[in-house]
Amino acid sequence: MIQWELKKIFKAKTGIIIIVVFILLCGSMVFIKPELETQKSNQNEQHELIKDTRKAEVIAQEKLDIKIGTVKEMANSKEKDDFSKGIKQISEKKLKAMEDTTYKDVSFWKVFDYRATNAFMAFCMVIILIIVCCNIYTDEIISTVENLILTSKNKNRALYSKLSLGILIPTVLYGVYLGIQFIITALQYGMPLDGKLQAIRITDNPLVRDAYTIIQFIAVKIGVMLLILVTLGVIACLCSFITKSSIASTSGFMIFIVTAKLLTMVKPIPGNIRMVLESINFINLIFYFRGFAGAYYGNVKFFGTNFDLINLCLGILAVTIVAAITLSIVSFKKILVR
Amino acid sequence: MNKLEIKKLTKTFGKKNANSNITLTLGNGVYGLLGPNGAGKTTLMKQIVTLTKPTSGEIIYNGQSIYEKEDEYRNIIGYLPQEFGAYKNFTAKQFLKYVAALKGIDKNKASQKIDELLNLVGLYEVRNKAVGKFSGGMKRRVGIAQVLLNDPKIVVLDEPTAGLDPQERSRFRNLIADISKEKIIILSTHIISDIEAVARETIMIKNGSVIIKGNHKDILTGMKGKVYKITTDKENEVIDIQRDYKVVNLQRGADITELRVVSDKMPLYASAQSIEPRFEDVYMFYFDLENTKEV
Repeated sequence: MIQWELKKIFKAKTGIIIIVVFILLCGSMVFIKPELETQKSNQNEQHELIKDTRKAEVIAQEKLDIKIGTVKEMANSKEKDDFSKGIKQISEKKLKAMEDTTYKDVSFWKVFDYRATNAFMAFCMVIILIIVCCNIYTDEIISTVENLILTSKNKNRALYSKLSLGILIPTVLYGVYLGIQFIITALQYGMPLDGKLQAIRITDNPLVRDAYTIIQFIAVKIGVMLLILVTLGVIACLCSFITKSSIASTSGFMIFIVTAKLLTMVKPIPGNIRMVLESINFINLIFYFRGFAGAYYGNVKFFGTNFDLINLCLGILAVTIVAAITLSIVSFKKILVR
Repeated sequence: MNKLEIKKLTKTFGKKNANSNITLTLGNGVYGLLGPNGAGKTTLMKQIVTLTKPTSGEIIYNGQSIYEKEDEYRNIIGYLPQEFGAYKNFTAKQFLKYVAALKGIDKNKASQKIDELLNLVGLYEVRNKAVGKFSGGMKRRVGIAQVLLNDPKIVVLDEPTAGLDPQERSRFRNLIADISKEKIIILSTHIISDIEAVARETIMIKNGSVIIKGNHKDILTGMKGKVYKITTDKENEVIDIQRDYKVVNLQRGADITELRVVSDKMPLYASAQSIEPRFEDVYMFYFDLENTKEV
């Protein structure tokens, strides 16, 4: 049945729109890159861009030295609060794992990391999910084929196929996107080298949450991004199952995305809940992803127990997926046959 | 032999009873479901095809509750909803292939069956044309073809002839007559002549309850002495009759007007005379004719 679901999407105009958005996304990434480790520029008082014209290796080594210096500083911190203690532990681990302090060419990884979890990519994926998943069932209502599906022998297979597309579409599209970006980046910056070096070599902020290697760091970020996209895909499908029109479904999905962000602005909400909401709201996850995945934000206390903030947020995302799948199944059994 | 038993079926939406305590037993043959808009016909049919669950009561097919093995039960259903559409970008053949997949029909068998049915409904020549370019009648025929794909034992047709031209309606009636031998066919329509032509029994529903179930002969016998012809040449009398009685038909001649009325008692007009009832009189007697689109 999944094959039929895909056929329906690609035979309709939405299929063409998705392909166009996806091609534009992949193509535009050719021109998007971060400031490399070998580059440095500043703005002067007249807001003119002043480029550092020293040798690339000199600039890169200087940047790396600064980052290592920051890590060392953290490792020697005398602060006693939980957050500083956590940072100190991680920094010590990083220093222990660091075998070499001379600059190595990690341009490929720096650019690939930037492109793999870029906010524009996440935004385009959300657009695609709205187009496909928010309409995955409402389209059946509009075309009046809904009743045929619900009275067919393979009703459940058809409905579960639709739900599974909420997972498959973001996974496959993101996978293809990563593959394309890998090839484009390799063509532009050469094959990936030195992926086993410490991740701080490709980050602007050395406060990475663990002594990750570059490959581990990128893999964690890709995993978290995938988790976010799959959560959104499943939620979009759920919205489609429980509403009667495309507008209602899309509105429901948008409300879901912005609600947590809006709640962060509500003053009476306790600090610990607000901390979680600040991290896990989908607006920040999409547009400020780099500040979430792989970063360390310390612990948050609930019911007298300390939870790692980022791990707690990832747990909430996982629970959200399970809840959305469960609610979708409930809607198959109860709501669609009211 | 198929047997569908509906026992004390009630469906409530909020405070409104769409179906109230309906009990019916259906065997092979065509059953015409008749009633005004909002009478509860569609709700009843939706429960028979598992589209909606009853608030209370049960539906039993060949001795087993239809909800016990829903997938198996759905395998023997063919349903044409009141609003039937199809994917505009699919060709007729592609759409039927999709429905065949929904019905769990083997690909090879489906392909052969689809060609057969497209021939049967007269769409074989346009099988590769997008459904979006079809006329209303052609779409309806695609709908009828999809109903028959799985060779269903229970066929539920909600307003199947709406929007069909007379030729298509005639073709449809013949088709129903052909396939009705080993199936339970439930046919809901406002078009009384369709029911007269093909139904073995008629079930009349009003305010969610069954008010009459029986074959045409019995129903018409029950109407004897309730249909009258009144002739008059006075316009004010015509107005009075229209006000006081249910007028099935009004025919104005050069001098006199002839009115066909249904009434429990003999109308108090000298010209009133009892006449043979027709099926439309039955409908008019129990419901208002304004709810029938065509007779």
